[in-house]
Amino acid sequence: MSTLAADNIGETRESRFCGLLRRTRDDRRSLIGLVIIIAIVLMASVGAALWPYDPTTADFARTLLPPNRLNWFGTDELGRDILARILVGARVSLLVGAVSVGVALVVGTAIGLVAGYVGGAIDGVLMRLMDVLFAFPSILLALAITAVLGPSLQNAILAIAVVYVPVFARMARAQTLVVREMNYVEAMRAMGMHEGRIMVGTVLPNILPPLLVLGSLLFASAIITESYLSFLGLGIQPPDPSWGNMLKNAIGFLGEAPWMAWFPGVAIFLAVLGFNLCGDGLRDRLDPRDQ
Amino acid sequence: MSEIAHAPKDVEAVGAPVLSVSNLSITFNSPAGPVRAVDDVSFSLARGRILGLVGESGCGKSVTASSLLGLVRSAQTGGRILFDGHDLAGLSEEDWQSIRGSAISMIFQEPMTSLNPVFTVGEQIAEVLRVHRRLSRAQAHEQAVVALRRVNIPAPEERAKEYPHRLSGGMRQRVMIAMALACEPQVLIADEPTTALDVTVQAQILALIDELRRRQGTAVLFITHDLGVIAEFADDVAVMYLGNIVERGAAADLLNSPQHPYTLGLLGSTPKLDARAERLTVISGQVPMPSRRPSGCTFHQRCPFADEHCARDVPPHREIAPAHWVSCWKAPIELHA
Repeated sequence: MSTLAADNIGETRESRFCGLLRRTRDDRRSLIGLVIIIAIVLMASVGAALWPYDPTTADFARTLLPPNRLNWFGTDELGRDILARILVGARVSLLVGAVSVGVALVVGTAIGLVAGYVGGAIDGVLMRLMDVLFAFPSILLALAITAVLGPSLQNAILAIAVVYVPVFARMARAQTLVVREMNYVEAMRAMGMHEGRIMVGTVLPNILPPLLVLGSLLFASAIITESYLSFLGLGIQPPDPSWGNMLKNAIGFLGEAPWMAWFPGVAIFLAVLGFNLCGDGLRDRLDPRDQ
Repeated sequence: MSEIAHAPKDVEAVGAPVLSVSNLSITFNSPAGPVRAVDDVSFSLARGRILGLVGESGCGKSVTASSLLGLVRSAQTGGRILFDGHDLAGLSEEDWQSIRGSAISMIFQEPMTSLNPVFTVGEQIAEVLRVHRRLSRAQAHEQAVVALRRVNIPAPEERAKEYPHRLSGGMRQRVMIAMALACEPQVLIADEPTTALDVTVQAQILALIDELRRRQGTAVLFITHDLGVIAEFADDVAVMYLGNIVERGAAADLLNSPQHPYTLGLLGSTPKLDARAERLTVISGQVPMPSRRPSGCTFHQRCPFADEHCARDVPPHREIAPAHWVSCWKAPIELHA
């Protein structure tokens, strides 16, 4: 989507991107967010390779150990190293969050933009479809989709994306309804722009910022939703770790081994925080009026 | 450069009609029944000349302007719009798009909100040039700077990189004019372009439009409710009331010897016809709703000269003096200064 918008930005695209980076550096909030995200990505790649423990190897002599010199984050009920599982689980959680939200953002925005801009019967049909999706509790819908398609990480991602499409579509439509009445849209029409070009070149860039923030917020719930799905055996399959299934796993041991819940919880919290800070900063930076 | 090809080729070309509207009527469908916003309107625009279209809010000025660009939706339109010898009535949306912004351009009342906030002004002007002139990105950017220079914006290379919020209202209106004129249209429609600006900026914008139509031979339809502006720089004037043009003629002629009571009222002049005439300084009553058009002359309920004849029969649009038309049974009105 953004490539189309970027096409209109023309020759200043390069400098605009550099400007975005520069301003991100100057803005402490989004800087912190960016540092957190980079740290998590590094952990998931480099950290997982360096840490000596295997995330799936059970060691029944060392079960439910609190954090110690050898197992910094402790061990779980099967004696697996929790830090190793966190590091490897980061991959799954980041993948689920990024891909499912990304797909939902693109599809939902397209649907909402077309519905809001074109209006009439197309609006009615598209939004009623969205209402149908929206009417189901999201977990139930994701459950149904993964149940039908079969349990795998790929299908879990797809299910989460489907759940979020109507969320983006609704916001995109609401924003489009506001923007399409703006004088500059009518001015573009009076300048002889055809409707498709106005929709993508003029309306889309103006509705995008709040959608990106919504995306950063939903990224968090995507990680959580994946945890439900894997808890129910529909997401990533054991023994492979994800932050979500680690957290679910920990519920049974909250009394005797609370650290099993602490660390995946903190990991999810930090990832969500990082993306929210970045999303917030991005929204501010995308509005030229604030520059 | 292509702009030279569009410049007026000779002096004689000035005054040649470019766009003529005849018997234009526009009817909107409302839940309460059809509402006629524009009724039997005729006028023509000539090369290098400015036609001032005057009237109160809601009299149909802006709808008339939009119809010249085919931008009036969900309305029945009657009459004929001839542009360069072609009837615009049956045009497809695609044909309209090639005319808008290229042959006929429009600038709006609200410069503060008529520019897209997320793109620089240079990008926005370049976009119009790329669509109509099929220029490359670099060429379009170059031409956008040329367009900004043409409307007397200082340091146009720098301004082209600015976002609209960094510019003042007057500057934004200049940008709008630059964008509207970037493709050298033959007709410029200016819908109250100075209403939202303060007075000194207003004068600059008017001077700019005046200069550009002289230099490029653009025909201008200037919509306003400000007769002072009209007196200052329009060549011809058409006065609109409730969807009708009630009087039109050369500006000097019409403003010096207005023949329609509504024009008189607008001018605030005091005809010393009889004692009642003093009430003319304020037009009594209110503009009726377009859905409740009065019978006969639409102005008769507010007209100090009206009699039962005016209430019954619609006055014809007749030429009362050379090139001076008026729709009034009572014209010519004798004015005793």
